[in-house]
Amino acid sequence: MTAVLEARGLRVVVNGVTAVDGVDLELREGSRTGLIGESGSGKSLTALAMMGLLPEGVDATGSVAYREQELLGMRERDLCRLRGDRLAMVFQEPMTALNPVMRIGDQVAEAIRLHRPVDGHAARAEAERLLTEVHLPDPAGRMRAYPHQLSGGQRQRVMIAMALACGPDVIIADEPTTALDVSVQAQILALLRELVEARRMTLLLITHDLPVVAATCENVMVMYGGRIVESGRTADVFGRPRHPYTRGLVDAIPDAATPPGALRAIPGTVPGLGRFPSGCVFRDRCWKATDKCHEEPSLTKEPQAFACWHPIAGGETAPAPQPA
Amino acid sequence: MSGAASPDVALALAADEPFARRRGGPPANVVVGVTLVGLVVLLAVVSLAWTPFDPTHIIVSEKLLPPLRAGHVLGTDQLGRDILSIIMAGARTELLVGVIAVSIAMFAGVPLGGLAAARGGWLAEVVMRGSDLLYAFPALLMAILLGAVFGASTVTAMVAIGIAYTPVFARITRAAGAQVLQRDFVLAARACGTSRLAIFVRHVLPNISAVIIVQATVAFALAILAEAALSYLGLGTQPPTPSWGRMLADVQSYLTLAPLLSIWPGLAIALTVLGFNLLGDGLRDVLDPRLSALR
Repeated sequence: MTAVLEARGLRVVVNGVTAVDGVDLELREGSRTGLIGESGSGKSLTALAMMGLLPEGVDATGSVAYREQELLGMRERDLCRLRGDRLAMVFQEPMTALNPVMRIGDQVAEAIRLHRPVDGHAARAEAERLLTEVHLPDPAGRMRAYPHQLSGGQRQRVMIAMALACGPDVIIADEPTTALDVSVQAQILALLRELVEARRMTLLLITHDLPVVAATCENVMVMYGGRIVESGRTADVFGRPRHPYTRGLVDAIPDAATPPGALRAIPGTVPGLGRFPSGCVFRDRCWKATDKCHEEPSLTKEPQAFACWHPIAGGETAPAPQPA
Repeated sequence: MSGAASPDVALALAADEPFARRRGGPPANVVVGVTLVGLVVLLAVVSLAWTPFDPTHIIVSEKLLPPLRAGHVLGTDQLGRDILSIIMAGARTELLVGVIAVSIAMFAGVPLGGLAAARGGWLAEVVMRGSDLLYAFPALLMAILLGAVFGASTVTAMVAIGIAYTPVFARITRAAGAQVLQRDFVLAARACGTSRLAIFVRHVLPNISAVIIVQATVAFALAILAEAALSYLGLGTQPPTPSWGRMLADVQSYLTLAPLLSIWPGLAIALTVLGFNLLGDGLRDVLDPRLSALR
């Protein structure tokens, strides 16, 4: 089992503010890993950095390697050759991630022709096959449709078809279901899972939806304030969280039976970029924080790694929130 | 917009369909614009094969005939040439100047603006400040300059007008292109491994074609106006090639004797420019539903 895509000490700096701080992330061949955390915890930036897609003015340092090939600092031309071919990405907003003035068949065919020396006819045939593979209804007819003629779920299927176009090893899905209806979410997740398994791809699934990770990924990494605060096997991390933040996330999941008013939110909000406290980034929202937490905890060794001075033992939960 | 369809509904429709058309046929300005422009194009095309008289044939004995005399529908000028024929042949010149000048401006301005939008940084600054400089320089002055260096001719006028309108295209391409470059599908295209150039050509240009087409139509009108002005000053089309601007210059000494002589070319210029302007406005309404929904 070797790492296909690996980040070491990844730091992303936005306008002089460190948004991702020393993230180590290893995607083993054929594994499915979830990356979770609240909005603003640096998940998407991590993903973009690993694809070499950071916007101008945002710098990444450290190391990102695809099969021991360093991606940071690679020439844009060489990156273009890898992206879409070996590394693919599915985005959050299927509404806006497709070009509104291009037929979807052409968009999928273009994704193929970028990396494969095939003529337009063969590319279109392959595109239609891909649209069939992602279970788009009436793929032959939809080839000529424009994005606005499809529903959100259908567009996301097209996005997935584009990501699959060249048979990549690694697929990074950045909140692929967040913008969709719950029933459609389940379909898209099932599709992703099916494809990842059938094609033996490596998946990095970014989301703030814990049940999505629980249903899809065998490994999970929890991110907060630009750092990995806990990681391990999904069943262990969700079943017996060691970091108070993970505990908070797990407790915050409502199920259909949760009575109104019984939601357990993590107190406070995610501070803005650059407003995280020193030491442990979670200490100002943590019920277990002590003076010790002014020092930065390091991530313990695997299998279930966590970065906390006061890890949770047993079935401890956060104290019930005080009524405001 | 009529009271029946609420602006909210129109906005919602517009957001979903970028090229949604308004119901009830094209707006009036498009109809009038297309008619006027179509008429000019028709005159120009017909003049290639047929004009009532030879527009350069001088018959001094028939000079300054009033309209509808001896087969001259619009009369004759001071040298006895048929005015309708000159106007028809002149339409050819005007359209040619418009097409070439706008093409020069577009083919120079759009890539420059695109470069500025895609690259940003100092390169964008150089391009945009350069275009500001060019923009501040009067088009007529540039034509006089070029005319002095290369000699006054239709070609010089076309090149001068083309250069003068290049900044306009550079600016709108940069502004509209920068906006498109922020959109998610550009990131998605990059994630598929699309190069910068391919992103601009295949993803950005089709999305900003509407504004460029509108701008081209409006620039066409301005180019025709500029050509007329240059020819009037003797810096554009040279005799014997017919040109509306030069017709005006030729007949101005006959203004009291035969005022109609200056009316005809003036009317031709005014109606053509009006036609292209109306067409440009109308196209903007049709192609940019956000704007029309706000009316």
